[in-house]
Amino acid sequence: MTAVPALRAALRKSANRHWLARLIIGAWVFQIPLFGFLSPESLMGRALDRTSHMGLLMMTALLAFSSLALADSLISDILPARFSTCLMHYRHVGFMSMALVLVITGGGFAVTLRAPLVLSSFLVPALFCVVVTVADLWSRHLWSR
Amino acid sequence: MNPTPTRYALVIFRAVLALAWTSTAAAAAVTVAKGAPIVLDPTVTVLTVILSTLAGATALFIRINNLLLKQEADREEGCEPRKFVRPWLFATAHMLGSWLMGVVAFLAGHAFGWDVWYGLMSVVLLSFGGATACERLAERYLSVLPLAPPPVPHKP
Repeated sequence: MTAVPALRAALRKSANRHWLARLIIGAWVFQIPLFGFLSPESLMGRALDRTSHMGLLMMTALLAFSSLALADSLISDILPARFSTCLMHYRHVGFMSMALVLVITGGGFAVTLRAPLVLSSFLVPALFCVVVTVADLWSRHLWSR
Repeated sequence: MNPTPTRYALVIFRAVLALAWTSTAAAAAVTVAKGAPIVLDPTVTVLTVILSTLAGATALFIRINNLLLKQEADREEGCEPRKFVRPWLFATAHMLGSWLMGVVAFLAGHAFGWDVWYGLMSVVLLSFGGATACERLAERYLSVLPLAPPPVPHKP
């Protein structure tokens, strides 16, 4: 049983392999609703003004998911190993939920404002979320093999 | 018991039978819109495809994560970690269920004239539900091919 701490340390090292990508996507998604709320003259602020309360709800959800991603990255990747959180085991749910909310938000804006090109600025981070999730699961699978 | 190609084909046939109910649901959704012209908005159509794919992938990733957690627990207990058995079979079950329910949600939203926000959210929820239901159906009825066999202890 003395090997269990070593195994857990190796698992954590494997799970933290893509920490920079997670930090980047967390910060990237965090700034989208932040600028929308704080700067009404920005693109997101104008889009929020012209859509219903659902746009506000989706932006709030984005802010919540990206805050969780940043918290997970800060606690599991940057702080020393004695700090740990259960968020680490549910990363895939968080990042995929973030991707889904990004696509719903972009799609809602694109259809409501009749501007399909707006969608591209949401699809790229959504794709990044999926890539980060797949890379994270793949590195854990390689470790478990 | 090693699965032969005949047994494998039988499993797929049973999966098709288990999924046959979705065509009835889709027909019901289209019947509601009978008489009204169906004009598909290309943006909403593309969004439906993307969202149902993402929702199915989410259900699939949750399943893979559960198996990885079991593998990690097996390793901690000193057992041989269990293997992924026929990953393409359960990946296909998840994605098929997700896409079918995404189409049903899209048709229902179109027939009832839902708001775009509610329509997109219903696509996500129904697609995820369809993928999860297919996973449960696969585990319940396709028992000849277990997705995750029990771990084998290490020999001393």
